Amino acid sequence: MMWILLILPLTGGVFSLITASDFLRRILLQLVSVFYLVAVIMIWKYFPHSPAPEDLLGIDPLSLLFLFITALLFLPVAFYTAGYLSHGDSMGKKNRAFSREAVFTALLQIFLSTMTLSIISRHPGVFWIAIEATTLASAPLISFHRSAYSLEASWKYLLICSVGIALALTGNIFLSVSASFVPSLGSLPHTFEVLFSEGDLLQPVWLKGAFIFIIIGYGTKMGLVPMHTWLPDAHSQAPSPVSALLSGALLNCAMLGILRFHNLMKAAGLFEFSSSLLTVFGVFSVILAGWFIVNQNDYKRLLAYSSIEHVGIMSIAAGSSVYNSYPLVIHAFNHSLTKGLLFLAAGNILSFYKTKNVKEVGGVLGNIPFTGVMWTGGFLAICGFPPSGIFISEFSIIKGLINGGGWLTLSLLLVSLSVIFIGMARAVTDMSFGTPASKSAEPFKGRFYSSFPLVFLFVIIVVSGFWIPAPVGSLFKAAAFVIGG
Amino acid sequence: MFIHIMTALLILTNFYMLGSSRLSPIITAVSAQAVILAAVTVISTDLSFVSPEFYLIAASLVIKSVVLPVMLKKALVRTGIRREITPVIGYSLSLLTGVLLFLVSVKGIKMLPFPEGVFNMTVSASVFTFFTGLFLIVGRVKAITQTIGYLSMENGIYLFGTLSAGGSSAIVELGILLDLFVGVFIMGIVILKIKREFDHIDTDELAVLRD
Repeated sequence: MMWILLILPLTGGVFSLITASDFLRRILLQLVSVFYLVAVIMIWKYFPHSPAPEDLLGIDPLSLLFLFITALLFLPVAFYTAGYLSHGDSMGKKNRAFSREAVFTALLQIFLSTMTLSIISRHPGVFWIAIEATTLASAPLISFHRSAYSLEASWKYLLICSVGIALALTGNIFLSVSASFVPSLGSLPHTFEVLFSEGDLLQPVWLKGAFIFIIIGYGTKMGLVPMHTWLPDAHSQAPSPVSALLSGALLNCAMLGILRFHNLMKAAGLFEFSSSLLTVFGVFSVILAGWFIVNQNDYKRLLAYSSIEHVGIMSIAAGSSVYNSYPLVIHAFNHSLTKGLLFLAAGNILSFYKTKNVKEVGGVLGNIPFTGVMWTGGFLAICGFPPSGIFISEFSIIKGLINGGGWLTLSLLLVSLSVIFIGMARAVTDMSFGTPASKSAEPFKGRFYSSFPLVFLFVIIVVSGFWIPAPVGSLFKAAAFVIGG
Repeated sequence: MFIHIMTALLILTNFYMLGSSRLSPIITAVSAQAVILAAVTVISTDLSFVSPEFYLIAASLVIKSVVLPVMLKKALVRTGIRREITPVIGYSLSLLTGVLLFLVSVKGIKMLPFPEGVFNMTVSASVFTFFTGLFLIVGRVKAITQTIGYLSMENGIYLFGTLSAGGSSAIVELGILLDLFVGVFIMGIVILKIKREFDHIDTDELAVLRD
C-alpha cells in the first residue's frame, strides 16, 4: 500500500510527459493530487504504522503526519497549477508531448514522489538519496520561466544544496564509522531504528561529528542560517505553486532527517550536544530573518524570509523540547499550510499587479477582494494571531522555553518575533489597504482555480485553530512520541 | 605498495587541479581520480567477480571516469570556454592553499579514532580530495569548474566512505551514483541555459538577487 504513494505520482509524471493533450495533463495532475490524499488517509485508517526495525522504507506516525501535510498541500497546489498553466502564455507550444508544460507538470509530480520517498525512508542512506533527488527534481521547476533571475536562482539552488547534501553524505559516513564500533550491529541494515536500539554503544566522537555534518548538510536544504543563502532567491523566483511546495513541503522533509538524527543523539546520551546546536542555528535563523524582513520590498522574498524564521522556530523547538515535541509537530503542520496559502495568494497578487515590489502594490482588498482577504488572513495566521494554529504552537514553544529556563533563547526569540511582526505588518498593510494602484492590470482569469485552493487551505488553518479532530489530534501525539515525548 | 602509489597519484591529481587554468585537463584529472578510486576500492576490499559490489564499482568507474567527463567536455565545446581567466583566488595562492589543506587533512585524520586496519595516508588523501573540490567551488567563477569541484568532492567522500566505513549496501550506493549522474546532467543543462541567456557562465556575475 505504501508503494502506491511513490508510484502514483511517478506514473502520473511519466504520463503527463508523453501525452499530447494539455487538458488531459491538467486533469491528471488534479486527479493524482486527490488520489494521493485519499491514499494517505486510507493508509492512516486501515494499515498499521509500525514498520519492522530492519525495513528500509516504512511509515511510522511521524512519516504519516508529514505525508498528510504534504498531501494536504499538494492538492490545492495541483489545482492552482492547473489554473496557472491554462492562463499562462509563456509555456511554449500547446498540446505537444514533451512540451515545456509537459515537463513542468511531470517534474511537479516526480518532485512529490521524491519527497514521499524521503518521508517514508527509515535508513540514513536512502533518506540521503531521496533528499538529493528532491533537489534535482525541483531545480528545473525554479527556472521554469527562463528569465535571467530565475536561472540565477536555479543555479544557486542546485549548487549550494548539492554541496550541502554532499556534506550530509559525509555525516552518513561518520555515522557508519561510529556504528562499526558496535559488533552486535553486524550485517543488519543500519536503519535509524536499529541504530537507535544500540544508541548507547555508538562511538560518541564520530557520532558528534556526524551530527555536525548532518545539521549543516540538511540544514542547508532546510534553510537554517547561515546556509540559507539559496532560499530567498529560489522561493521568490520560482512560480508561486512551486514556491508553496518548496516552503511548505520540502523544508519539512529536510527537517525530518535532522529530527531523526537528533533522536539518535538522544539515544546515545548526546542530546545536550545536538539540542544546543539546534538551538543556536535556530536563534540565528530567527534573528537574521527579522533583520531582512524589516528591510524587505519584495513580497515573495518576504515570505521566503518568513520561512527561514519558522524553520528557526522549529529548530529552537526541537532543541528545547527534549521531553515534549508536541508543539513542534503542530507548528510544522500549521506553518506548511499557512505558508502554502500565502504563496498561492502572492501568486494571485503577482498575476494581477505584475510586480513583486511591495511599494507598487496597493489596495489589494479593494481591487481583488477575495485574494486580499486570504492574504491578510494568512498574514495574521503566520504571525501567530489567535485563533490561528500557529498561535497555539508558538505559545507552547515559548511555554516550553520558560519551563526549561532557556531565558536567553526566549528573549532573543520574543524580540525577533516582534520585529518580524512589525516588518510584515508594514508590508501587508501597505499592500492590502493603501491606495488602489492603476486599474490597467487585467483581472485574474479562471476564478475556480485561483480561489478554491486558497479557500481549502484557509478553512483548514482557521478550523485547526479552534478544533483539532480527534484522529488528527492523536496523530499529532503519536508523531510527537516518535521524536521523544 | 600499490596502494601507496595510488595515494601519491591521487594527491598529485589534486595539486594539478588546483594549479591549472585550462579546463579540459582538469576534467581529465577528475576522471583519473575516479580510476584511482576504483583501483583502491578493489584492492582494499577483497571482492569476487560475481558479487554485486564488483558490478557497482565497475558501473561507478564507467560513469565517473567516462560518461560524466565526456558530458562536461561537450559542455566546454558548446559554451566555447577553454580556461578560467579570472579566478577568485589566483593559481599560485591556490597551490599554497592546497599545501595547507593537505597538511590539515593529514593532521585532522590523526585526531580521529579510526577502527582497526585503516590506512591513514589514503584516508588523508581522500579528505584532501574533498577539500580540493570544495576549494574549486568557492575559488573559481566558471560554472563548469564548480561542477568539476562538486565531482571531486563526491570522489573524496566516496573514497573516505569505502576506506573507513567499508561502504554501505549496494542499493544505497547505486542510488547515490544515480543521484550524482542526474545531478551533473542537470547542472550541465542549467549551464547551457545560463550561457544562452547571459552569454557567459561566470557565476560571480550572477549576483542580481541579493538583499
